[in-house]
Amino acid sequence: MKMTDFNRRRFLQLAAGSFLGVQTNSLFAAAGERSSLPLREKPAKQLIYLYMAGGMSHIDTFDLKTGHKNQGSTRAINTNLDGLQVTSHLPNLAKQADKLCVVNSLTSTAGDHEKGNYFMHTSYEQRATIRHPGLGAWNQKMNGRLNPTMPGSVFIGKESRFHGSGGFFEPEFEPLAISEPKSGLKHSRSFVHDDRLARRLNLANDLDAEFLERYHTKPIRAYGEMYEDAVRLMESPDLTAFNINKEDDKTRARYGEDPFGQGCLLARRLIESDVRTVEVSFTGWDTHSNNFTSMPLLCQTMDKAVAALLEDLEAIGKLDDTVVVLTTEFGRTPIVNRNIGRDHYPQAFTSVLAGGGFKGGSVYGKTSEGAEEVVENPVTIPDFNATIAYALGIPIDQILFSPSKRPFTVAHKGQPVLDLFA
Amino acid sequence: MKTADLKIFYFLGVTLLLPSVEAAEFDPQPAAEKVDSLINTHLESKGLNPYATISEDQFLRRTYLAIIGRVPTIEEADAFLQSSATDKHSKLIQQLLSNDVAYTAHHYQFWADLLRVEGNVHWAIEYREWLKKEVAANTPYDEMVRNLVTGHGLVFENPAAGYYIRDTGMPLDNMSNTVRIFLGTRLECAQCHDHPFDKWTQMDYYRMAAFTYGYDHRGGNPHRSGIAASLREEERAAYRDAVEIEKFPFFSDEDKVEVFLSKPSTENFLERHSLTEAKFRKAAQQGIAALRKAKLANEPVYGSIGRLYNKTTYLQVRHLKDTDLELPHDYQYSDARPHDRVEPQTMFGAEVPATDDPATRKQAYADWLTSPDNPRFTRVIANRLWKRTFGHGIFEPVDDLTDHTTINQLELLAYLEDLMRELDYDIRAFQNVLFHTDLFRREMHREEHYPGMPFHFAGPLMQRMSAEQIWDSIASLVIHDVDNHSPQRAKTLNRFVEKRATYHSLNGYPLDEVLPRIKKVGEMRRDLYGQQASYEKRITEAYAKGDNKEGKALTAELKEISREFDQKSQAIVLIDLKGEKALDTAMMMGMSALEFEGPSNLFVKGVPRAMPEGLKDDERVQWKEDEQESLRHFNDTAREMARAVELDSPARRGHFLRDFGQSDRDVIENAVSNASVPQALYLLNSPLAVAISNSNSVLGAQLEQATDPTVKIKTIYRAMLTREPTEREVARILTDYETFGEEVIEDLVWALLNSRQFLFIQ
Repeated sequence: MKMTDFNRRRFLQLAAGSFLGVQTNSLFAAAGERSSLPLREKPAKQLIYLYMAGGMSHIDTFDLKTGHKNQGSTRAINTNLDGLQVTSHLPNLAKQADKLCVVNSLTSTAGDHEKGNYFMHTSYEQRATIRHPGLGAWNQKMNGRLNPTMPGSVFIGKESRFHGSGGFFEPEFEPLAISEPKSGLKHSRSFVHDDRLARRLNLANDLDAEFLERYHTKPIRAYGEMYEDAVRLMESPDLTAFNINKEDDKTRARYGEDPFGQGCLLARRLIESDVRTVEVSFTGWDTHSNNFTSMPLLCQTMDKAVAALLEDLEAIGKLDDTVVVLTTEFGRTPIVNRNIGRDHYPQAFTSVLAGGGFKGGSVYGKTSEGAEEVVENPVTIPDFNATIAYALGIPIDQILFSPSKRPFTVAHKGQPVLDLFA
Repeated sequence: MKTADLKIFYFLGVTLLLPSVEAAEFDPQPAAEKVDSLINTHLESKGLNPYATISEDQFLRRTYLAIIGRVPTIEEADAFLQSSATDKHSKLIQQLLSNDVAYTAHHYQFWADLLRVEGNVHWAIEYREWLKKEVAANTPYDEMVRNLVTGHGLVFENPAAGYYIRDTGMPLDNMSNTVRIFLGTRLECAQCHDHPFDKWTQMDYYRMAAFTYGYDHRGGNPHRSGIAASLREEERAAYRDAVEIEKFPFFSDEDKVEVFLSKPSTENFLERHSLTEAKFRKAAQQGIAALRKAKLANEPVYGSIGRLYNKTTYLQVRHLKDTDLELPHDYQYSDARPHDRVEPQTMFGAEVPATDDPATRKQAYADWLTSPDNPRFTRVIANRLWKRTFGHGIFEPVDDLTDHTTINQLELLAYLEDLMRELDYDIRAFQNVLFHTDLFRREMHREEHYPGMPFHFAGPLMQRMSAEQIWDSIASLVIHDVDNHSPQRAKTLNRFVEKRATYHSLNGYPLDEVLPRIKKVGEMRRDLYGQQASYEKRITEAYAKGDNKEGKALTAELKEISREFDQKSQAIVLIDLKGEKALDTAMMMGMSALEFEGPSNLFVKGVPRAMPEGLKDDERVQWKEDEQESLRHFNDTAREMARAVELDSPARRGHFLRDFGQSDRDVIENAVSNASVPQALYLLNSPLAVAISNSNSVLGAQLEQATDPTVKIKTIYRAMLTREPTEREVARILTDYETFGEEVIEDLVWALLNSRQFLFIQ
């Protein structure tokens, strides 16, 4: 019994559908008050959040202090933007500085990884009594999915526990997590031949029919809907978005063969398939010792991947609609420690924005001569997140309530920095 | 300080499960009847009828899942179903309740979710294993809560200290969590302002928090400060030697010398010692130079202290002196001012006398909390256990009690509270009563039930199995004697041993033995600094030349040098960490020899079947290929399989358990049982059905015994759904079997895994 491709596909969907064929309910259900701030007129739609876990040194990346004793052996190069120099280990980004909006004046007080990471991802202090949702969850909550077949947000990285998850929102706002970009989405291909899968689904349907007739409450029906979603995804051309092996060797090499490079490549593919938010995490920036011998590799890896990502987003016409954020939990001490390393430094640090209507080729804020403190236009973490939220058209004063009836907003009390927009 | 002074000799029975007291003397029946009569009266008043009684096999499955957290095996099922004893239901309940290992495997998860027990940090492992032991020993609930809330000291001595270490740096949140878990009351809103929906004020919050405020988790290494102090003393001695003048004042830098000399009183000093100002200055300069030199020499030693002692931080809760709780800077109410000191005071019920001693205060707080007179303590646990048994609380949510909470069956609740007190908070005895009720044997509620609607208990509310119940049930289809299969036990014990040996090496010997070892490592570290500097130069040059390859190669070399240094320095200082020595230390520090024996530590590995006779050549090749593939899937699945309680918990992200909603233990009771796409993808597309059908697995071996397809079908139904298939079902499966043959057997395993009747408990 061989089925044509078309028939097989229809059959699978019917089989999955009758598992408990109920329409998927609305994914968008915001509660709370209406926003009073005017929303951005043409907001960006998607978000790529590149997280440099461990604390990226500001003075050794985008906030160079050539000639100052704090600089150590990091060397500066010119970029295609007058007045901006970056480390010599970011040669590709230097050529695309006209796309970057460098914020050199972030400031915070959260100086340990866990708290800093949590704060950056949620705008709230970490508490033992609640978990706050991250930007990806807010983006999905307020703007819905762009592609109903695909997950609302995806997290790419090895971390067993990451912040900026679905928080107290309903479970469907939890990001889909992918540990290995090269392996893509786990269990997304049938283990047996399609004919046999169809037969199995049919068998399962028949054997479960009596039970489903007896019990048809919402939690049970939800499983039917979920099977529909899963089979729709398996059958969807979007599924290939998860498969970076579809890219040619040249492209893969352009992003870098390391997990972060391949993660950025996967991010680009997912954005192309209209996933709302993709985070790619890159660990290893915690350079307490041997800072200057670790930074070249870290920077080069980041440089290759982010430069390729920006190039491609522009090429496929997604850059204007996609906010690209490069951030971290804190900077690193301008003074070099005895292990020739740098320690945690939340007082002053750097993040970079690109795409999404941000002012490319600009530098915002300024630190002191030795990069010790912010002397111009300080930006708090909630402000920074409010800026991203504003860029995405998320109302920053929209209050949503946790199940315990506590009120929360997307960026806590942060206000967007409007000067960063073109 | 002598070793013995460290008080590290104590007993700790880590995974050794003590048999619980036989519950035999207690007859649960009268109490169960009372519960039923209260329920029935209530139903009558609402014009409702109790639901019908479930079948024997449904009762069997429900009971296994409720008490030991997995489905019964075919043998276990037969033992019950074939028995004609009239009290077999009661016997089964009691037998499962007294199976400490299996009971703990299930009910540990309840506590781990409530207490947010994290997985893999060293203190958490101590805490986790202790908690399992408490559950296995059926420690009375009030006693267990007192142990937790008074948790104090070194985790090796008192693993319950983990209750406070879990909330490191968040003592206020720890108090809100305590109140939420044990008193079912939400206080967290009142941390920043008066509670908007309840009566609690911010002052109530702070007064409650004042009971346990002022503790620290980072200390706990008695030698750490001693070593630093003796280094500083050495530096001062170098200073004294260099100045060569007795009773010469101490100066850490030149500026301070000038300040001293500018004081009028200095003249007398100079005169007394017949010193000129110049001589004085010179002596001071000599001293300061010597001090600086000594400090520089010690610098790498300080670096090593940090590196080594950081391995054993977060092992102790201790009180801090003079850290009274103050109101926050933005306190806005008129009853006090910001930064006012807060006196501890209970939020309701009995008052607790004031005391300055932190240990007494914490004990008083725990006593108040767990007192039978505390109006919410008993109520909350009775309701939580009721919900765990019947799917819905008598009041909901279980942890948001207010004065306005509607309790529909107050009489029932009051009876359960009395029962709990009467049973001296014996949790299993209490559960025994609930499992003996008619309600537990009624059909599940079949209508839609929305949160906030009253629930009348004509039958229990249907639940999806928890992630752990699903996983454990599948494991029981694959792993023989699954309750006693603990492949990670050796690893856990090793971590216990290592941490004790590390701690003992650093703190268990006299200071004057430890200090020279650390100094030796300091000397080595000085060399390391030199190497680092030279590598840094070469690496920078390589990159400057554009030779990235050379730069990377040198970076890798430097990394290797640092790694070797760490190994060498550990070998010098952590002298107890080696093999037998570590074991001796661990046993000296209270671990018992018994723990190193016991159930299997081995991972499961399957063997291929013998090839059936009479196959043709091409069939033989195909058979062999299929067999190997099936075996590979079995091994991949079984290698990582054991009951959830025996695995890292919470499981890593992407693990079956997490995909099916296991709590990440970030917040209280964070497990979910909703559908999600990764779950469906896993069930649809993973080779799980192959592994379960493989002849090495429990079910596969049973299928191997049978030849008749109908027998195989029945075997699968009995193993997976705890029932016989209906005639219609058999006929439906045989239709496929006639066309596609033997592979339909695996299809059936797959189909039932993907069925709702497997996931939802009837």
